[in-house]
Amino acid sequence: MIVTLAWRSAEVAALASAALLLMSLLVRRYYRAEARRNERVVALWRPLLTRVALESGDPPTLPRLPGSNRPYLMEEWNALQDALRGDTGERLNAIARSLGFDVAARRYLHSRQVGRRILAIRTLGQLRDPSSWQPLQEQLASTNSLVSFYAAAALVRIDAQRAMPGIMNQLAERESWPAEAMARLLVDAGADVAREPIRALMLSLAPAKIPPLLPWLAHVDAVLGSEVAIELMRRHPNDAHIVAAALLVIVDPNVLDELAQFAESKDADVRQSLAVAYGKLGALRDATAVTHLMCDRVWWVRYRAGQALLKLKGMTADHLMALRAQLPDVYARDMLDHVRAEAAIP
Amino acid sequence: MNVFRHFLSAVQWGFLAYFVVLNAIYLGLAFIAIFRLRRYMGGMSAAERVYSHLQMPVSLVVPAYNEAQTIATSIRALLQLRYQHFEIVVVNDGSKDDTLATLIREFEMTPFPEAYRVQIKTKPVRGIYRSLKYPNLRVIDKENGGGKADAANAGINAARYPIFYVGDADSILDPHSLEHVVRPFLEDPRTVACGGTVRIINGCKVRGGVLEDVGLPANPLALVQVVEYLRAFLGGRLGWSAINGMLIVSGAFGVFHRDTVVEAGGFRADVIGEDMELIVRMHRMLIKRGQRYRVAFIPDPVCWTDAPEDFATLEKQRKRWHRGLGESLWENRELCFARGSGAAGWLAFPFFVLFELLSPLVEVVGLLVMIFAFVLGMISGMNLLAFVAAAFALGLMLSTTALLLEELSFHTYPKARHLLVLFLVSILENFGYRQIMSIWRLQALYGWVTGAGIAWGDMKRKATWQQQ
Repeated sequence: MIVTLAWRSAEVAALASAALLLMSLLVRRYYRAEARRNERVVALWRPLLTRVALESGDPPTLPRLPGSNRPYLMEEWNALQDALRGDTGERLNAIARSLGFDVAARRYLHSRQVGRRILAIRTLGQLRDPSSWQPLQEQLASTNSLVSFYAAAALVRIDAQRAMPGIMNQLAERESWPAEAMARLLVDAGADVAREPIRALMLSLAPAKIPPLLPWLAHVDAVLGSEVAIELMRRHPNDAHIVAAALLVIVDPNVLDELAQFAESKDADVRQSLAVAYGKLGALRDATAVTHLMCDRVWWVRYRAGQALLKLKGMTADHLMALRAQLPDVYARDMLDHVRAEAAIP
Repeated sequence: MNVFRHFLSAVQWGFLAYFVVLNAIYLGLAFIAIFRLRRYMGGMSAAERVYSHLQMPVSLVVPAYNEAQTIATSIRALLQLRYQHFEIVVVNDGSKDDTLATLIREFEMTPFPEAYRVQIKTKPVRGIYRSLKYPNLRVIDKENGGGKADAANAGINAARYPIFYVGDADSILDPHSLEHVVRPFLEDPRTVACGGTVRIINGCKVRGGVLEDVGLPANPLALVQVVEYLRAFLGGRLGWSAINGMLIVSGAFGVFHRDTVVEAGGFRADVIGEDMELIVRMHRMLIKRGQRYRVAFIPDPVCWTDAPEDFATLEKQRKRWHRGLGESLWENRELCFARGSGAAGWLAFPFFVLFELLSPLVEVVGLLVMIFAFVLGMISGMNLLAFVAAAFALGLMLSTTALLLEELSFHTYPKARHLLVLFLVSILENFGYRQIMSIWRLQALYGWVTGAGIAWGDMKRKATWQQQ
């Protein structure tokens, strides 16, 4: 019996291997054919779409588009939309509607392929069609974080103001959304639309969600970022993550004295961020506070404090030498030598 | 005689059951990998668009020992990586040749009074250099001793960024590798390590340290290793990573969360498979602490490595790997069936013991018993053939699954002929190659159990790409 079983196993495995090889060859053939078809679509349509985008006037006569080629063209069309700005988008949208992209995209929303669904969402977002609102809202709630992220972006394109409440709810609840990309998207929606919702969002978010968003907010709107950071720091002075993130984005030198309280924080990230803040906003009068940080037990705090010391407004080489002589800690002196040597490298 | 017949019957059943279970598990992993790949590939371009502007800074730690001939090319290739924010920390592990002098000359390195912090204890650091030409390049010159692990630890001490890469100086990275490999860290902040698919560079065209054309090696030994790597990375690791049961991140390409590695104590210099040992230890440490974490794997071909082309070097490599496997599992045996250890402790660990560590024992002993029984006339030639055929065909099925995974994902090898050659190699490897591997691995297992030392010698790699 066992021998029969062994033979059967061998037969099944050998047949399966042959089938798998055949499948591999077919898959290869399929992908090759797909790539060729994509190339053909791009070669035919790219010049046409570019002409439509760049030249006003009557649109050119369009060639027939077989349904199987539509996703490739949709991808190309989206890429062009992303690259262009202004009323060119409207002309491209008119072409897309005449090619049935809106109807096809709504159908693709139910595809099992994530890539196809995302393509549909991007297309509907570019088309800015209010009738797509409901299906996109449903995609916003998708368990796939990329799908929901793209749905949020599409909704913002259609009506940023109306999209905000739903997005804020998702942002507060989701852990899987790429937070920085989301912050950028909100700011891209337009300062007028997004400024207040972002401020409200940041102040209402669960504390754990705030730190990754702050740097991005500051990156896009430094003043808003700083204002929000100061308010958050005052609200959550004992939350090391928030304080550490806030200290990095504050650009208002008037609050520097208030920040000094964090020099004794138990969290090294907070002390390190404080050193960075001194470097950005401080002057010679803050040298004592910075040299205190240079004696920290954590390397990064000493390093950032050393860099800050060099950047203090009014700092000169003589001041530095005098400060070095006064440093009580050998590690602090080593660090000062390190940062000075680093700064001397062209 | 009856007793021997019963024993023989038991061996036959055990042998067959072992192979069926082993291959069933691998097939299961391959199926998980297929679904994982489809999902990954489906959302890949979308994910790239979202994450392309988010680039976590990465420290590249490059241990180097006696690599004067190749180090400049390796570093130049790294400097060409398409990534905005990275630093390179080369660790000269007390080389006896001109490695340090070459680095100083080629990259205008100058001594630098760095406030070096020792978070992981290593052999003493003799000096630190900084490039005047490339601000993101530093060299740590340390005393020799402790091998690659000690050198990597010195590099980790000097690394500035939250995640670091450590790899071999004789491997080359895909120019986009860092973009791909940081994504798991961005997507899930609980990620503590991430591996990627390593491919064989023999037979490929490389210019200036950058891969230009993918091809298959002419050397038969390297050719078999192409299939082995496909099987191991696309089938096994992708499947294990889906259930957070990955116990290995390849020494040729691994990216780690720095603080977690420092907390775990860094790479151990007293074990052979320091890369695997660190991952298993990190699993153990994080599970013990009740911390949620993830060891990720990306299927993208991020690293190309030089495969041994002669038996002597291959033997050293495989014995080293197997002994490293034994040490890693033994040193972290607490992980096995540990409470709350999930797939790592309840599935991956026992699997690695039964079907990886002990597999050469089962394969060699099983085959010897069958041959012995055949010689004594207790089983017929057809019976023997049936078992051998079953073992071969099941192995072939696994290899072909890996080929399918390759076609479903990155179809790296451009010609259909390549696929057919690899399939042929999957058949031929059953005639001699796999048996030799089993014998070497059994010798390594025996050596490890008995505590016999192995004279490793230098690994001889051709690394022809380095000279191109």
